[in-house]
Amino acid sequence: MDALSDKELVRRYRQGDNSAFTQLVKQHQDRLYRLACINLYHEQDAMDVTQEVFTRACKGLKQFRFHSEPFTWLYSTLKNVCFEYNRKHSRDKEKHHDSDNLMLQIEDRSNTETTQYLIEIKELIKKLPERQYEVVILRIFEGLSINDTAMMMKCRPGTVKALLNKAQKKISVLQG
Amino acid sequence: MNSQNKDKLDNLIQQYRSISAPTDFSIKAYNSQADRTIASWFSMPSLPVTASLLTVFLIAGVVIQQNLPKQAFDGYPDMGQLSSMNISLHHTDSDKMPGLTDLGQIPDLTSIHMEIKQQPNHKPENKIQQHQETKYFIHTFS
Repeated sequence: MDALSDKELVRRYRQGDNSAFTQLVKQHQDRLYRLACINLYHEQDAMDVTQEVFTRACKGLKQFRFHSEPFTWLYSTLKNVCFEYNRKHSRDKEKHHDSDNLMLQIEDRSNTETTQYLIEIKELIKKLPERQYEVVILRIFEGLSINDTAMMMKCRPGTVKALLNKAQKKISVLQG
Repeated sequence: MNSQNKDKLDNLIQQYRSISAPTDFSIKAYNSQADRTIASWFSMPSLPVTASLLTVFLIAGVVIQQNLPKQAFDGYPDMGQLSSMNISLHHTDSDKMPGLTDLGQIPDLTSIHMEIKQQPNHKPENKIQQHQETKYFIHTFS
């Protein structure tokens, strides 16, 4: 992750250079979209969630204070938006008494190969606690370094290693 | 190291990283933010805008009042005159409210009493008549 160029892009955007924002979006939209897919109950919401994140970034990055990396800010925003969407869907699920049929309808709609792999990944790591789940996604699937993962999770690198170790003990496939 | 698990994991990682955004979000983000900005103008007014409008109206009101022609206030005392004016209320004969005796309909009570007194021979024949006369007196002049 080229942190320096991200910060420079945000600086230029704050000075009125909209092309800097466009470049920032193009650099990170794939990663954010993937993270949205894996963190949402329903991956068909990933487009809406990703768009919401960048819409908030349009305004939010103008007041960015550079206490952290810009992508850390984007990732935090993504987690918040995913939480809102998941909470909304869990409420909708409670309203529908026949929740099993609802899940089947959703899976029928999103019957693509990508979705199948996402379902397989989720099935693999769904039993992990939230923090271990997050470490596995960022460190193993996204391929971020220990330091970058720690920065995004707002913890120490040692904590990242400990969480990863625990996750790998629970799921043998993750040991590679 | 389990090679089967390794292959499975590598395959999953590769498939995961091949996922890409289906559209360019930069344009959508701009349009969405612009739509929200416009929508906010037509929803609750922002405090600075409201305060500015109120200030403009207040200033405009003061300016208009100061620019009214002097003729508009003719006939009306100004504040200086009002403060020095001694307003007193006094009765003149013409201002006196008519009393009951002036109405003409109701006779003077004192004259009736004197009239009754001046009739030396008038004596109620009995107490009943006296009571009736008193009753009539009270009824008529109450």
